[in-house]
Amino acid sequence: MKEKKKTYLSLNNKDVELIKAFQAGKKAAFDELVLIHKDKVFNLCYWFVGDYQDANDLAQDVFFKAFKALKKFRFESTFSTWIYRITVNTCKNRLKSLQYRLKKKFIHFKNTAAKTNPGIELPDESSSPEVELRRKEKSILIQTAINSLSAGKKAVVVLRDIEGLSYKEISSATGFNLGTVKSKLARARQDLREKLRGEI
Amino acid sequence: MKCAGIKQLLSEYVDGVLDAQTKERLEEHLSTCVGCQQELKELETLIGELKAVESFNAPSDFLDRLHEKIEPRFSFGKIIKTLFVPMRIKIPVQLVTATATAVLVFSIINLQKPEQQFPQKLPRSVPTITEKEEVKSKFMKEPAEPMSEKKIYVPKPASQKATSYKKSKTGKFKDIASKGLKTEKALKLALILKTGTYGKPDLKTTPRKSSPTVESSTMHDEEKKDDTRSFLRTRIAGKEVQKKEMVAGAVKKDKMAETLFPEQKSALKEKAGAPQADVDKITKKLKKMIKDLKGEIKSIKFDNETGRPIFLSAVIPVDKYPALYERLNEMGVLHGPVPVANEKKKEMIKVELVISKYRSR
Repeated sequence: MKEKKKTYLSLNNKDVELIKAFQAGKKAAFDELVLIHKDKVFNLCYWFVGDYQDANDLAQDVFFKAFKALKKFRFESTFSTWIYRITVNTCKNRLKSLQYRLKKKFIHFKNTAAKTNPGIELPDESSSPEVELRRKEKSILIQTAINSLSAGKKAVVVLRDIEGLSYKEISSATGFNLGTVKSKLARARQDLREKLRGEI
Repeated sequence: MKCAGIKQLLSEYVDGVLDAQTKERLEEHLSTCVGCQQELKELETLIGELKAVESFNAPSDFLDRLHEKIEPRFSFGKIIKTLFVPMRIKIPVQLVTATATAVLVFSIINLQKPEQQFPQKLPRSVPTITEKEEVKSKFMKEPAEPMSEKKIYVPKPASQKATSYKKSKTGKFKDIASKGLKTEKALKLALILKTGTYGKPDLKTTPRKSSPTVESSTMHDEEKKDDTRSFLRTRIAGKEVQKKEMVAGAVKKDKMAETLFPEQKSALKEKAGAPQADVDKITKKLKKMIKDLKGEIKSIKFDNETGRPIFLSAVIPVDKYPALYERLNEMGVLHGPVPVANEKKKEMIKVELVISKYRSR
């Protein structure tokens, strides 16, 4: 356990310094932590909810929670794992919320009526090159497929295949044990393959 | 190992987390099974695509927005924290409720008793009281009404609107200006003497609701006299206290004083230490004034302590009223109806003059 802690500390030395500085009263240290981790958190939020504005709001909430809880941070995990865990929980709660479900239903209805892909907004790509367009289309298809997954599977697959976290880190971030992570990831990938068969 | 089992392990195989033995068995199967090879290929493609998807970055104002969220410029909570006691000092809700209730009850009680404040609102400059003459004769024979039920007239300067107050049986004061002076046929005057010895009246007193004189009036004549004398002696001893009594109370005492024997009266006057020479002078002056104006004095009331005249009732010709007004005005500050210039009627009018209370040195 001590070795594990030491590994975390050595890997995230800068984060540790900044957290200690923050805990000592330097609020500017938190700004640096935000600047380091904001894009990862934002990206995770985006892949979770599939909407830029929602992702921004969620990421704000995540760092706001982190700001409030950071004084009690006990260095039992890395800051990135800790912040991912906050992100996953915040996103899951958001997905569960009735307001969000209604909003998603409304967007789905609008998009169906407009004969576009369900659940997402298609950006204007008329001026983009063909390759870029293909890439974007793929991204949208993947996004749609990921959105259709359950929250647990979504968290695991995004953290592993998009964010590139290890199984252990995913386990820490999601709270699932290692076996659950493995099985959920395998099933999530299987689901995605079936949904995207012939598309990519 | 069967294909179903292999497919479940493919995910871990791609990620390289399988143990060596399982990995070896899986690779053996894959070398012979085309279907599982296809599965593996598709899985690797999918993972490749997932890793290749564009990552979305946070907006440039992310940190600023976060700062606003963490420390809002205008926050209601902040204002509360600044203005009020820190929440660490917790005031019991019961205490707050009890205090609020007490304040509320106190204010309601105060609002319901405006008459208590009445004496302080009386005009300080005109402290006079008049009563009907009939009361004088009946004073010692009939049971007197409590002071609170008597009419108290408070005339104001002629330039102002006459105002007086009445305390009814219900205990409420009413403005009887419209009834009081207008319905009385007598001309009512109030005189505050100019002389240095005669000061301003003391209005800080509160009206007595029932005086000892009122109680004694119900007794038999002899008992009444004895009782009154003893009462008056007591009153003289506490002269300083008596000075603060309301003028209404003083009028009654004066009436009583008139019922005393002349020698007792003079003795009382001496004891009171009033400026006897001045008092006599004023009385004589008033009598002479009425006589000169071809009038007739109906009654004079004296203060039982000082022997000073405090009330004079007389009848004079109407055309002499300006002269009376002028003469009285010379004696001091006079309040009352200003005479009309060309009054030539030869009727007689009743004049009631209230002379302000002395302040003996």
